[in-house]
Amino acid sequence: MKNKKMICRFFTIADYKDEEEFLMQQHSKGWKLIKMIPPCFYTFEKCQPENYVYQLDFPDLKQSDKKSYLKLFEDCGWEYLGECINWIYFRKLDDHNVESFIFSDTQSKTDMIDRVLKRRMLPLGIILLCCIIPQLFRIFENDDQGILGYIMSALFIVLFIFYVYLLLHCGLKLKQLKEEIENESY
Amino acid sequence: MLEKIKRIYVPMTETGFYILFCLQEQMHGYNIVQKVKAITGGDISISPGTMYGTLSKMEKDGLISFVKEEEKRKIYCITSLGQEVLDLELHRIERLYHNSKGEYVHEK
Repeated sequence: MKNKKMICRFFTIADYKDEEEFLMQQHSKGWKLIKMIPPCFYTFEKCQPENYVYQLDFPDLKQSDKKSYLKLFEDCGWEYLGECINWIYFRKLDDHNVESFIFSDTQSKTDMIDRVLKRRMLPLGIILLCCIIPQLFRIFENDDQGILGYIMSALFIVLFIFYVYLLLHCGLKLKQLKEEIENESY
Repeated sequence: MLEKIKRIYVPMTETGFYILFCLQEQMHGYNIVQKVKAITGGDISISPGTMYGTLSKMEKDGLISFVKEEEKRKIYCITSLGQEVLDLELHRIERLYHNSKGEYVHEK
């Protein structure tokens, strides 16, 4: 029987809660995460089925602070699993109390969402406004295109639709997550 | 400067209060987690993500300062600005406490 498996599953920046849930379920079925390969591959190793909590952090981390940041998590009982495009992965045996989360107050949970919005959503929006939309205008202004021109136009339109969908999905979901967190605290 | 910081920090969150309160002595993040758990009878448990974020923010705002690093643990201490903010908060809590007992607080 194989001891390792790889799963391909895509999560956007707004789906980190779903990603945590997915990793927890794998562990409870006897597969622990050993590696993440961007953008969407996960390697698992066979293990004892146990209830582990998986948590993702998106910190504003200077390289010089990284060691002390990881030490703090280690002291608090969190196992560091690695990083994937600025997301840091941790796990811990689930003891069903407040310490099963890496954030213990509303402010720090919503601060993380703000960092994701600022550092990931904003660049996406800028690429859309500055590269994709101007290119679309150019395509519509230029009537005389060869077959290659049509293919390129079609590709750009697909890319445009994909970008708009991604921005809307992530923007709305992060906003909803933030509202849920704020409502939980009342 | 103090006015702006006051607006942001007072009233303080429970996490913010305990962190600043503990840093009247030099401590690292995990020390604070343990101390807060001990003095609150286990009621308040600060998670590492929250601890890291709050320490970074307070350091940036000048409420605490970095002292030294020991075995990869960063040790911090309250600054005079931090002490001023903490005193304001302590005064506010005392007032709340007295008022909740039905006592009046007299103007100074």
